[in-house]
Amino acid sequence: MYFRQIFLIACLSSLVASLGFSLYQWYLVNPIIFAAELYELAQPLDLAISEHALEQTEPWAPDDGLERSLYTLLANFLMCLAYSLLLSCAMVFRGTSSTLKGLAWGIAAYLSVFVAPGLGLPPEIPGMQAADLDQRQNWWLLTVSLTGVGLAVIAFSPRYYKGAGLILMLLPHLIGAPTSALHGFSHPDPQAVATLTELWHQFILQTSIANALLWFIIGSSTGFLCHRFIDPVPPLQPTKLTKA
Amino acid sequence: MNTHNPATLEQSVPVDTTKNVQLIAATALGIIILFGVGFAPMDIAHNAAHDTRHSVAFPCH
Repeated sequence: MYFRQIFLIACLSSLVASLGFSLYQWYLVNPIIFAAELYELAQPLDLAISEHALEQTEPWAPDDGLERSLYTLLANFLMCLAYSLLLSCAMVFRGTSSTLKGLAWGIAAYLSVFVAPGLGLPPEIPGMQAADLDQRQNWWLLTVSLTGVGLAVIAFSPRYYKGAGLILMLLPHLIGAPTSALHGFSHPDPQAVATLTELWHQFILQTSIANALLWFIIGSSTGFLCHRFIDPVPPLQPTKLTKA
Repeated sequence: MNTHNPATLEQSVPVDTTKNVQLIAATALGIIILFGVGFAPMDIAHNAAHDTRHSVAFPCH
């Protein structure tokens, strides 16, 4: 019962959220990615053909234009579905829900999934040099989980445990995000590097707004839908039923 | 709602447990989807979800 309701709620909420997010992304985020890719492709041959590129000969990728946009739309929807599933599970686990509670959950999720990992690993545009992918993914997962748990501890535990939540949130930043010696842009032209840096700053600003919008919609809509469709469900009481 | 359902009548598992099992199942589904979209290392998954991964600041490339 709960599973079905939550899945349907997540579908509805992610439809709305992915539509809003995709529109914002299409007009204000994607142009920055495309602009950065032009520089990525224009890199000199010896830089462009790294070992990485030699190992993998032309893997499939959606064609630019409509096909690429459709795949992005699908990926946005699936990502929103996953986020919405996780958020509504957490909310239902904690008890009743409302639009406002959902919004609070959404803000907490924005802090733990976007802001906290972004402090160590800022959003990146294509063509940036960065540390080893596995290390960055591990640090991302660690930061997101610890910040999420930390915020939950601060919000729900008795007062004398709240400090532990703060420590949990700080821990990944004390460990430090993986960095590479060559962070930045490897493009040889200083003019291009200046343009790319400007694009990167724009990108950080726009993704911050886009993700805030994403979590605003996911949070408030799952809160509203959980309140509407899960709270009214009377809890089953097997002991009474078996007696009858 | 389901009071005439015999399965409900004979239910012996505590309600909280069934609720939690369903919540865990839904959470697991969410994590699997999130891994597929954001972290799957295959080139196909990476290229299809490329712009999404960049936009939500998943570690990419």
